[in-house]
Amino acid sequence: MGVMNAPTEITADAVRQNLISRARAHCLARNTSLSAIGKAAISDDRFLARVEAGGNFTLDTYQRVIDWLDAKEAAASDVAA
Amino acid sequence: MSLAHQIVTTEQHSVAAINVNSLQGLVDRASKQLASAKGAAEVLDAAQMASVAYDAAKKAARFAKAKGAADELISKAHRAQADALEIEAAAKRQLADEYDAAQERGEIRSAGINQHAASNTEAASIAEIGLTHKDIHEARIIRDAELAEPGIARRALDARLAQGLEPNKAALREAVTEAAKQGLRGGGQSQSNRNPHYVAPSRAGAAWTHLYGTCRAIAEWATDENMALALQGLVERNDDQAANVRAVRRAAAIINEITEKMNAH
Repeated sequence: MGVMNAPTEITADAVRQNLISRARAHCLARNTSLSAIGKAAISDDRFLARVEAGGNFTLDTYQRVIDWLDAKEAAASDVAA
Repeated sequence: MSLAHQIVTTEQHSVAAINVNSLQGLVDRASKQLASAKGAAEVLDAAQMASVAYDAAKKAARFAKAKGAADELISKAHRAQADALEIEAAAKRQLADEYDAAQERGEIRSAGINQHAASNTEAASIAEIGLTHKDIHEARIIRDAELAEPGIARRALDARLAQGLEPNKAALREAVTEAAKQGLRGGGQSQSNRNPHYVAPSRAGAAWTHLYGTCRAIAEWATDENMALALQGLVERNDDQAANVRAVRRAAAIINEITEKMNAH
């Protein structure tokens, strides 16, 4: 199997890091907090703090937060355009 | 090794692991996050991280207690709980300062200002930052308490630890609320509406007050007109007044007796 076809390892840490880095980027861009994102996306203001501290979460919760971030970024780019 | 023994051993190890490794790490992380925080949003995130550390420490302490772990292990978890609460209190204090400063700079909308006004459209609302009015209220209470009595949060937590009690949020809230109230009053002990110069009378003092008070009331009432009316009222009554007449005579005899004793003194 060539390098191009090598399967990508998706680890729990990678998923956690992706979620936190997306959320932090949003915080910087919109002058908001992780707490505000958690509250708006899944009604849990401590969710991202728990994730950052190494807490576990379900794929469903992960997807809801990512969807919320996607929607916000899409709305922001529409306004900019 | 039996299965039950294996489970207990694993749980004891997990308690130890939580206390020694994870808890202190979480507390340190919250502390560092607060130290490097810039602006209300980052301070809020540090407060949330401290809150997560507090929850973890609280769970670990209760789990250790339920499993009959060593006292040392429970007190370690309690200390981590106290440290996390102290960081959270420090973060909230900073949050109150950051919030008020941001409001003064116009970066956060003030209450009562028209949110549709052109000058204020750039300013964020507290909801956008992730705060509630309740959060701000609590943060200001902690700040006011620390201003009135510096170090009150740590002292309150240390007092709980010294008593072997869990340093929980309720105890901290009670201590800082009282300190903040005293700060608003300008210091001093807890006050009430009671006269500060009032001294409760002795039984003898109360008896004398009762006697002269009753006599004064009768003397002030006993005008010629009132006495004539009272005698007329006695005549008008159709029911038996013998007991009431005896009561008046008895009172007169008692007053005479007391007067004689007062004269003898």
